[in-house]
Amino acid sequence: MARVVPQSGGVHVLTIPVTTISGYDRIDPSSSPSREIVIEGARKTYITPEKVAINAIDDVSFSIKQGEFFVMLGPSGCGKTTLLRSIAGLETLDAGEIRLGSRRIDQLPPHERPVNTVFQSYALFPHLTVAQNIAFGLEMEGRPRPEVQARVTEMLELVQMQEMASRKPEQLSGGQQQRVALARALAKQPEVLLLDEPLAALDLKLRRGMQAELKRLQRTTGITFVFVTHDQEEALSMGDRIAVFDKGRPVQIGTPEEIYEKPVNRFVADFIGETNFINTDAVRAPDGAAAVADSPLIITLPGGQSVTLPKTVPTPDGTVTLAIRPERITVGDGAHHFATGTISGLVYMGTDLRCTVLLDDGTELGVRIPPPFDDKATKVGSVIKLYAEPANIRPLMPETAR
Amino acid sequence: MTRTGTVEAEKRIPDPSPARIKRRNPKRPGQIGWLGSVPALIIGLLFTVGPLIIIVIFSFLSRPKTGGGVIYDFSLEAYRSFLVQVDFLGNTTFDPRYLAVFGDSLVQASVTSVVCLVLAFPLALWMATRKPRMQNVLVLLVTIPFWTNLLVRTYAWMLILNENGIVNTFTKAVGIGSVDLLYTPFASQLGLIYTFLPFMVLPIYSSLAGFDFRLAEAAYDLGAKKMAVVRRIILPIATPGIVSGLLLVFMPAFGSYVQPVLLGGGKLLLIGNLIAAQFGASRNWPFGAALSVIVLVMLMLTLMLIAFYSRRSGRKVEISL
Amino acid sequence: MHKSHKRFVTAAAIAAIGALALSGCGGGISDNGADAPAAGDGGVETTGFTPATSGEVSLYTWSDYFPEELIGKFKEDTGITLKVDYYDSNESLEAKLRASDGAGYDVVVPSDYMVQILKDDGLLRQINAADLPNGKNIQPDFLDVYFDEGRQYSVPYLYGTTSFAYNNEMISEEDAPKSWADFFNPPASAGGVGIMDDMVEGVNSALRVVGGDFCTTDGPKLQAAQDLLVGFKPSVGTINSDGILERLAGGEQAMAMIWNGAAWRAAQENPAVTWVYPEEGVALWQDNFTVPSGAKNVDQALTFLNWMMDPVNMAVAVNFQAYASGILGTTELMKPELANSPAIVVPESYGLALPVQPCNNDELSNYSKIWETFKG
Repeated sequence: MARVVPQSGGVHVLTIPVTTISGYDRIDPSSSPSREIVIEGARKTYITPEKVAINAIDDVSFSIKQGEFFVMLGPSGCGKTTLLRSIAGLETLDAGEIRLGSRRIDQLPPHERPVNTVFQSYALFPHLTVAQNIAFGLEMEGRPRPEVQARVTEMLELVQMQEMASRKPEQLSGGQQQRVALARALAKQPEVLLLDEPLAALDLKLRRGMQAELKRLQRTTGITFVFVTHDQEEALSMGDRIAVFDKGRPVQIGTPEEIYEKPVNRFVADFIGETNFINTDAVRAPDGAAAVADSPLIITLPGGQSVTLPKTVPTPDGTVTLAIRPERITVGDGAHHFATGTISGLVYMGTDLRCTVLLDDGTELGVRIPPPFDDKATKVGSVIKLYAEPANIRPLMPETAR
Repeated sequence: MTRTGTVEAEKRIPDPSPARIKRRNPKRPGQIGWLGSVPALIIGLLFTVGPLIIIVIFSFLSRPKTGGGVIYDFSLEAYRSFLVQVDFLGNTTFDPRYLAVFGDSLVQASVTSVVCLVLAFPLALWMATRKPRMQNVLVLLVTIPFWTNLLVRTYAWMLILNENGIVNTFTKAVGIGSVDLLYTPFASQLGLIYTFLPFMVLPIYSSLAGFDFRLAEAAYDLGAKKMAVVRRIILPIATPGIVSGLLLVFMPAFGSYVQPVLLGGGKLLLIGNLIAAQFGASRNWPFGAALSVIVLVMLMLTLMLIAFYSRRSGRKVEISL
Repeated sequence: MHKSHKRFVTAAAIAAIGALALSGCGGGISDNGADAPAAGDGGVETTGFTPATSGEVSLYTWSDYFPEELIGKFKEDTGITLKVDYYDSNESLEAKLRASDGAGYDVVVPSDYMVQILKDDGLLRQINAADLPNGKNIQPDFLDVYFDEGRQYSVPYLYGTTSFAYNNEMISEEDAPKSWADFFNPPASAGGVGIMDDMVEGVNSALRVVGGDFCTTDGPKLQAAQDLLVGFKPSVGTINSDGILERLAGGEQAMAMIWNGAAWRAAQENPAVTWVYPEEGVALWQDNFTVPSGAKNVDQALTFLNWMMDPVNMAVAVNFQAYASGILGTTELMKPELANSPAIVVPESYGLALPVQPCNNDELSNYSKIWETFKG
């Protein structure tokens, strides 16, 4: 799995097992690669009213496999929605191209692309009934009426909205509108369904339900879903693969597990889940001699103990940032003890006990202690020992390395 | 660390206390008691319903031997003379003249409405897609003609269209020679379209101003081409504005006579002039009243038809400006 | 628009018609005229008339039909404030007075036939104009008029005629119209002809051509008049009583129906405008000051009427509006260019400026029918 990740900043980062940009290694040989979406050298620049150029999409290249549930995740303004709209044909790229299989689509008008969108606002036509909304795309194709009706019925069943067929959108709840928007986009049997934060307007409970529903729909239809969200939890639970976007480009693309367990940089680690960051000096050779690019990395942890990491990371200023998930830290003695600290805060969460541990050098670490809880040993003021498997201590690429 | 860590609010709004329910005057904020609307009601009755009743009564009365006014003898003569005439030789015949006047007025109003619609819709759509500040400026520009008196504006058109006016100066310079524009049906129609265009633009604009253009995007996404988006999405959503605009243009255009007289040379008898003449030189008040009643009934039927259509199609049609 | 007096008036009439043509320079008038100014200032008292010296009087008159100058002069002379309001047709005035039962104004200015209608319906107050101090200034011919025998209800204001004028530069000598028949069968050089939107004037002129009496009920004559008008329609440029003066003076129209005063003013601007006394005759109309039955300031109103019968004051209106008046002594005070204009002062040789009595409503229906057919 280890691959070279080409970085434009000129620093080549080796060895971190990240699913790579093109990610061919995960392709199912049975699915034809000819229908994948390939984005190559895409660029889009906006000029703000203050006459500042902003790179909404900054030289982006990656591909999305056929039949995949692909999530584009990132904070607002990271370029994920602009890219989605470029695939839909609602935005035009300044440079680069988008292909669907062997066909270049980025210069086609929207109606010639086998792609449909579920909009964040749903964008249901208020003057049409549910059935008319679903039929709209089919009518635009000039399909015969009986076929349209059959397809509408099928779609209504698919999203379980048969009873609402003659309602107007304003008479529906948010979740129901969401289903209609889905049915409308799916009615045309697109090769790719684009979803622009479709669940953002729903409340938590409904959102959970719809997440499962979307997953089910994607599996049953086999259509490629490209799903934009800023909710990392949603991304993790739904995506086959996730592209984490920052400042107009994807910084990491991989399976949810890869993204969670092996974030490439501090941005990803911070954006996905909860992470402890430890800044520390790095030494490149087991004997403390001059650093050699591919020699193992020895790190002295705050507890005074050294940890040898099996791979190499860049250490531009002689330090390295390590990331450890709270749940990967264990309390007590173990082979890989790495720090000793004092419990400074405790929150009981039912499933676990969330501790804040203050290390001697002032670093605060979040730690989760699973039950059963030892009330005597774990209380504020107790001194505890922490250990972690070296594999769970992730050295991060500096974010400036781009 | 979820970023969506909102807890679903299961809280209910507490039941209103019994004391609140039993309050004698359960007014919601913003409601005014019936007493407050009495003056408006009285004025409304006096100034709208009152004259209408008088007109209806007059239409069933007789005219005196000399002078204007009415005498209180019931008569259907006014309505009869709308369709039947006794000619100069004493023959009683069907008289199509007044129907022709109605027809001419109808054509005038229809042409005005249709041309205004065709001109106003793209303009309103264009306005509605501008930036908000620009939209305000544009609305202001559209209303500028209201700042000056209609007669003044019509005289300005006379200056533009007359033989030595701007248009003819241009056509002469180009070598086409002078064109007869003033005192033609064309000039009259032009004046009407000019006068009523804002009444079409504003309601259509107001129905499109709140339009969510993401709907157009959605339609594009579903395979609609530009014209289909306009026809299937924008047009239906603009329908209430279009209906308002048509009413606001058609009704006054139907009865207007300033432009036909000043720009058209008064050579076409229209319903407005005909009614005015009955209360003037013709001194036939009952007939004038009967003509007014006929116009009124026609417009009421039109409005009822629109209401019927609106209920059947489930489309909200309202007069909004 | 200034000074262009809108006239929808029809016929007018003064009982002693034949004499009227002569009255423009009638014999012993100047004596009376000389006395008048003194009387106008209220020096002489006659039966029951006490001139008011304060308060106000409201005058309701035709648009642009009363000179501003006289408002100030009236205040100076009598101390009474004159307030002026305007209407655009006898029928507007009639409707207003009917609606208010004669209240709202102290002096109104109906034309001849309207005086009769208002008087018969009790909407005018009896004032015995001849008994006012300046009553003696009323021209004898204007005293016993058909609509008000002995001037019990009215005081004469201005009078004029309705005929047509043409531009002698646009219409050549040989095509020059001389009659209503020529008017209704215009030469090609006349272009679009202007005709007033005035049913009675229009139909009467057509009746003159076909030899029908006014207010006739003779079917064939009416039919002939209608046919004449319908045949005339393709030659019509405008059917509009407004802006005739401007269209003629500006050379926009070569021929149009017009009032004599307006024609005179058009000729001042454009000497090519030529007034025609048609062979079939023209209508003579006359406007009058009257006091509505519901007037509040009667003394002030009578003071105003008496003051207006002073030729010095009346002459201001005459010279300003370019119409002659029925008050003795005003002809002498006329601007020479007015007094010498045959358009304003009907030449003795032309005996066909005839007052026209109004039709009753049944007769008027025929007129309406013809006019509506013509316009439609």
